[in-house]
Formats: sequence, structure tokens, C-alpha cells
Amino acid sequence: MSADKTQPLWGMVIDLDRCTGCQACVVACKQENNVPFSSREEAAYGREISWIRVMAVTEGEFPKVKIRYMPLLCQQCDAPPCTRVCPTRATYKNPQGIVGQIYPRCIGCRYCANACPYQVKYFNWYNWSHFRWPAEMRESLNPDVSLRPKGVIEKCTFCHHRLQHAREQAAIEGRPVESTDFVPACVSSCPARAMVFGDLRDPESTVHKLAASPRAFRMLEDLGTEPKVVYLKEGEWNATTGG
Amino acid sequence: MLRGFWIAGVSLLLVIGAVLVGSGRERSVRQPIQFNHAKHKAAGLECSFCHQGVDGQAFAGLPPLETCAICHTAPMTESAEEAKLATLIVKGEPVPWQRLYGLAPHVFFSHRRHLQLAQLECKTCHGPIEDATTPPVRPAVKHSMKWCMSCHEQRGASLDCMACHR
Amino acid sequence: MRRPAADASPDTGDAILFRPIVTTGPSFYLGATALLAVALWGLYAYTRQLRYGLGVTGLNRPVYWGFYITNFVFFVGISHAGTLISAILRLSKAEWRRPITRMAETITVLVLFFGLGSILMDLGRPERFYFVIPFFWYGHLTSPLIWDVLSIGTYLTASTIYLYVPLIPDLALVRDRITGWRKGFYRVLSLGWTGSPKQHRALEIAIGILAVLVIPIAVSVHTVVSWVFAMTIQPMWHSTIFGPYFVVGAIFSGIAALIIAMAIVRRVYHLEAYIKPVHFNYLGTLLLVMTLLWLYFTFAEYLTTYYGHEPKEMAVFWAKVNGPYRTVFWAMVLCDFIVPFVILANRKTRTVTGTVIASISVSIGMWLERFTIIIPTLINPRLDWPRGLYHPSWVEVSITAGFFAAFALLYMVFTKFFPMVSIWEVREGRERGIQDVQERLRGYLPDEVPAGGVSPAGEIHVIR
Repeated sequence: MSADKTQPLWGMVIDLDRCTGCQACVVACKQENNVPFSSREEAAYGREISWIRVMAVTEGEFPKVKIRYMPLLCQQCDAPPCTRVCPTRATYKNPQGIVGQIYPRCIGCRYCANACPYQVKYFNWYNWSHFRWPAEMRESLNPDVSLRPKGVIEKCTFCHHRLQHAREQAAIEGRPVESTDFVPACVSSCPARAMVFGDLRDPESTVHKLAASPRAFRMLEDLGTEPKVVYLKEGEWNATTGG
Repeated sequence: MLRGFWIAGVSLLLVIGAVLVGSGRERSVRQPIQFNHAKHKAAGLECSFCHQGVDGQAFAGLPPLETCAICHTAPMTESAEEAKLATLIVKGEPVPWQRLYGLAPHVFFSHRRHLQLAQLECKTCHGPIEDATTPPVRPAVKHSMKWCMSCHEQRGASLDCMACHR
Repeated sequence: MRRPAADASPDTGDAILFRPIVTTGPSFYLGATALLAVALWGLYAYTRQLRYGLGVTGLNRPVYWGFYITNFVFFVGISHAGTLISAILRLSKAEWRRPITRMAETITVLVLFFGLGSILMDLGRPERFYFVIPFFWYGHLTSPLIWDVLSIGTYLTASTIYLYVPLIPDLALVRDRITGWRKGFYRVLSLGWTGSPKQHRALEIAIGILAVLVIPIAVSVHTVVSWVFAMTIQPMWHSTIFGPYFVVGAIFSGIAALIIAMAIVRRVYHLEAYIKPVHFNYLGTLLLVMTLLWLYFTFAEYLTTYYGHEPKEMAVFWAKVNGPYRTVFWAMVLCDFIVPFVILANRKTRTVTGTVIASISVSIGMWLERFTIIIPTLINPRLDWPRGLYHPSWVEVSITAGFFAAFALLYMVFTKFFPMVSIWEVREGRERGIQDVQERLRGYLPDEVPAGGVSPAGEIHVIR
């Protein structure tokens, strides 16, 4: 766990029994973080950028087959395999435990993307910001997040800019940041309330309680990456697809 | 023979040096109107009167025409510079102020954070701008990352990369 | 910088070794133009990539690495041709090394630029390459890529010195026979070499130290290249055997590259009197040993994976053995083992032609091996989404072709400036080598024992 115990340990709980696969979180994330658009061909070739994706996981065997939806985002590992291998410290874990990516520092070697077992680091194959961004959409860009240039890796930051606003507000009000001070865009948009966000270290927080639930599991947790995204699901998790 | 090598080498170094020196210089900024900061301060105006976002927002902002028009609809002095403003006000055209301090698009600076939380004075980052009688053509303080970081270290502010870059 | 009188007598021996430097025929220009055209085409392809980004390649998520990283590992592997082989042969006092060390060392120095260049091709932001320099910029010491930068940087420096130092006496020889504007070039580079006994002693000490130094550096280079993969937790990359496996593969492909270079230089410059079938025979034997070692490592690696039968590892295993990359995999086995083994195991086929065919086969095979190590792991990440495939684009193929052409071109140009057979070492072999070997041989043989079974020292020899 993070070294600085005075800071909240931000984490997310996703209840797969509640997720309807509506993709609202995907849209909200793209909107919030100025995630570039892609074409059908590029997406089919594995070039689309989507910091959170809803995966369809097949469960059971014919004829009792079930599709389960599973939002997959950066697991915000507490022992991230991606940060160790970065040759320029462009990706690192910050004091709040959030794994960040510093675009002007990134040289685009894609080592972190290969080292990540969850495949949640995305590369800018083109100069999207210049010739792929529809002019009508420019007005809706979020001024708190930069447009990524070509040739760098980008990833989910747990909407770190929102955390910064929350910290600033708390500092102005002269109190510490609390578990309920901010949520990432995906969580705030979930109509099924399948996603919960907060301080995993705070015993009073919802995420702390839910993470202790017998339904809780973490993706590929036997790799020792210590993810801070916790999934909830009734029954066994399918070992061949998840962990 | 050897002399040829020397001449070629030295001239190459000179060219590289010239390019480095040339690229390091900042371009000078010419304002459309020779605005007098000192005079406006003497008139009792706060910085935030013209730079409206300075207290509560990320960007301080440059004054829109309406702000100037509060006082300058009728000329207050004989100044030729003020006359330029008057014509713009009549035409309803915004003053084409030039930004003097610009940061790279991936650097996120917030005036609110530095003024409200850290209680910094303007001159810490902008030099003695309030006493300037003509608009400076070059930034008084070079906002390099090293410069930012040294202040952050001294004052115990955040040293997290993500605090400024995202 | 006047030469002493002893050295001033006209030097007429080994004229054929100087000929490439003195005269250049039309076929050289023809060949160079053709190679230059391919290299320029590669350069054009790279300008496309710079302009539009890495989207012009066939890379995608999850196959983030493709041809460029394959080339990187391959070229760095080839670099083991020279310095390492030459150093080992020097230290083991293999007399047959004399005419071939220069060609080997040249491969090392030139090919390393293409190894580093491949990394540059692969970067999304190549203009920020210097960020990786530790201490001065942002180099992050826990990253295996930084280990690569440090190790390859050291290796390049050491190999360049190791190429240059034994070149000094030859540069002086060229200086003494060449006229015109190039004389100054050789005068500067030969550092005032006169061939005095004092200089010779200094040279021998320097070569001796360098030869010992470059061996651990060379081993470290391919070890850390393998660690770029092995330090991740991806299936079939995360393997402890990768360090030695890559080093063996590197020496393997290095010897193959050396044999090919030797055959071409010998043919083009008519050096049959210097580079003899025995050299190909001996190097062929070394190549055979490496073939078997390669097979041993490959077998150990794949059997361990198969026996463990871990699902994530098996997905990669099957992708290689009987999946989308089975053609590449079995072509690799054919090129890296079957062809060279059949040719080299037989003394009758271990001829110049035979070893060259085996070497070409090994070079292709080792490129395929690097490809097989990198891509199938990437298309099978631990989670089922996404699954990928990789189809290299024309840009990647062009840049790869351009790299090979540019390397060949540089090597060609190098032969026009420097003697490719170490002249002074060949002469030293003639003048001192035979006597040295005889003395050494006498040292190997048992001391002469008098009839009574008592040695000169008065001890009784007992055979245990």
C-alpha cells in the first residue's frame, strides 16, 4: 500500500451484478478526458483509445451461456508493473497512489504498455488533436485536461484533475480531503450505480466496506500488482478470462 | 591539411552555437496600446479589476473592451495611446492584447491556487509589473520548470508531476 | 613526425591488401548506388512515419512492438560477431584468427549503430531520445531499457576502441604508401606510429586489456537486451533462461554474419590467399557448436513451458507451435538447426560454400527467432481482451530493408578506407608466430624424463 498513510487511498468498486453494459461510463470518460475519436477501421485494428472499456465475458457452457459485462479501466495498481520499466519516469505512482502519465516526458517506447498485464495503456498512433478532431466537438473539450500529441502513451488517471479541484476546495475550506469529495466521471455517470469510489483506507467509506465483501475480487491479483479497483460478483470468477 | 579540419570544425561549432543562441531568445511582444500599469494602480484599481479571473480561476485573463469602456468612453487624457482605445471603443472592436506569459499546453497553472491558497504576490512570478509605465516586451521572469520547482521545494508545495502536467 | 630510417625502405609485401584502398572500380560504385537507393527508400519511409506517427506501421494494441524491436535485438545480436569472437580467439591464442579479426570487429561497431537506430525508429517521440540518459536527464535506473542504454553505450565505446587500437599499425602502413589528400587523414589517425619496440609493447598491452574487458561487456549487452522482455510478467517472456539464451543466440548469429562477411570480402577483393578454407572450416565448427547450444536452450525453454502447462503460457506456446505463427516458428527451427546442422556436421560439406549457406540460413533463422520471441507473446496478453494480430506495413518493411542496405553500404565504404585484413598481425604471424607456436607446443608436452623415472628435479613420477 502507498507509503504516505495520511493521504486517502483512492479506490473503486465495480459491482458486476449491477452492471448493465450500457457504456455510459465509456462515453463519460471520453468526454471528460478529451479522449480522441477513432474510425471504424482503426478501432477494428486495435488502435482505438478508450480509457475504460466494457468487456463481454462469456460464462458457462452451451446451452446455459451467459454474457456478463465487465468495465475494464486502469487498475491503479499499488505495485504497478508499468512504472518500474518506464525509462524516463514518465509513468509513475503519485503520493495519492494514482498512476499517472506525463505526456511531455513520454518518449513513446511503449514498454509500459507491454508490461501492463491489463492492457489499459493506450498509444497515440496519430496526431489526433490536429486532423482527427471534428471542429464541432472542439467547443466541448475539457480545459482541465490536455490534448495528447502523437507518439505518447495515455491512460486513466482516476480523473486526477477532479481530485485536484477537490483538494483545492478542501484546502480553502481548511479541512482534509474526504472520501466523498470527488468521483471520477465514469462513476458519476453510472445509471445502475454499479461503480462506487472513495477512500479505501477510511473504514467508514462505502468502498472500504464493499471491498471487504465476500463477493469482492481483484483482477489478476495473484500477480501481486495490488489493484485498487475491486470487482464484486456472486459466485466464482472465471479463471480463464479474469484471474 | 590539418588546418582544413580545424577551419571546418570551428565553423561548424560557430553555426551550432549561433542556432542555439538564436533559438533560446524569446520573441518580443508588442502590445497594441502602450498601457501604463503604474498609472492605473495609482488610480486605485486592483489587479483583479482588469484581470478578472486572477482570484477565482485558473486564468487571470486580459481585460475585455467593456472593462476599459467603464472609464474610457470619453477620453480622460490627451494621450495618443488612449485615443487608439477610444477608436476601438467606438468601433466596438476588442483590444487585440497580446499574451506576455504563456505556458505550454500541457502545463496546468491555476492563479486561484497560487493566490488564494499559497497567498503569493503578483510580483513573485510577474516581476514589478505594477510599477511599469509601458508594457514589457519580454517576461520579467522566465517561467521554466526548474524555476517553478525551486519555489515549490522551498515552500513545501506539491512536487508531484501530475499536479501541473496532465 | 618524421619516420626513422629503418621503416623508410619501400614496403611492397601484401600489396593486394592495400589495393581496395588505393583503387576503386566501377562495380563498387554500382553496388554502392544500389544499396544507397534502398537506404534512401527506407529514409523516405521513415519521413512518412515522422510526419503521421506510428499509425503508418502495422503495430496496434496489444502488439506494441514489431519489426523495429525485432531488428534491434537482431542487430545487437549480430554485433557479437566481432568483438566477442575476436577477443576470445585472441585470448585463446588461436593463430588462425589473424586475418579475420578486423572483419569481425568492423561488423560489431557498424551494426551497433543500427541496433540503436532501430530503437530510435520505434520511438513515438524520437526527438526526446536523450531523455533516457541517466543522471543528466531523466533516465530511470529501474528500467531495463536504461540498462540497455548504458550497456550498449559502453559496448559501442569499447568496441570502437578495440577496433581502432589494432588498426593503428595498419593505418601507418597505409600512410606510408598513399599519396594525395588522404595522406593527412591517415597521418592524424595513425597517431605517429613508427613501429618501434616500445610502441609495439604498448600496443600489445592495450590489446590484451581491451580483449579481456570487452568479453564481460559483450555478455552483459545481450543479457540486458533479453531482460527487457524477461523483466516483465508477460507469458513466455518472464523466463530466467533468457539472459544466457539471448547471449548464445547472439554469438550464434554473430558467427554466421562473420562468415558471410568473410566470404564476400574474400570474393570481391580476391583474398583467397589470406582467407582460406581452413578459416571457414574452423568457424563452421564453432557455428556447429552454437547450433547445438541454441537447440539445447530452445528445447529447455519450450519443454519447461509445455510441461508446466500454465494456460497463459500455453496460449503463447500454441500460437508459436501450431497457431498463427507456426510458419515462422518451424522456419526458424529449419534455418537455425536442421540446415546448419546437416551441413556443418559433415566435414565434406563444411566447405566455404557450405558454411556460407549455413550462415545465411542461421542469419535468417535468428531474425525469425527474435520475431517469434516478441510477437506471439504480445498477441496473447494475460487477459482475453484484446487479442491481436500483427501485419507489418510497407513502412516497417522499407525501413528494415533500408537498415540492412545501409549497413552493407557502410561496411563497403569502410573497406575503402581501412585494410580489412590486419596486415601487421598477418606479418607478425609469419615472422614470430611459427616460432611462438613451436615454443608453446614444447611447453604443452611433458618434460623429458630420464630413463630411471626420476625427473630433473629429483622427484619420482607416479601415475595415479
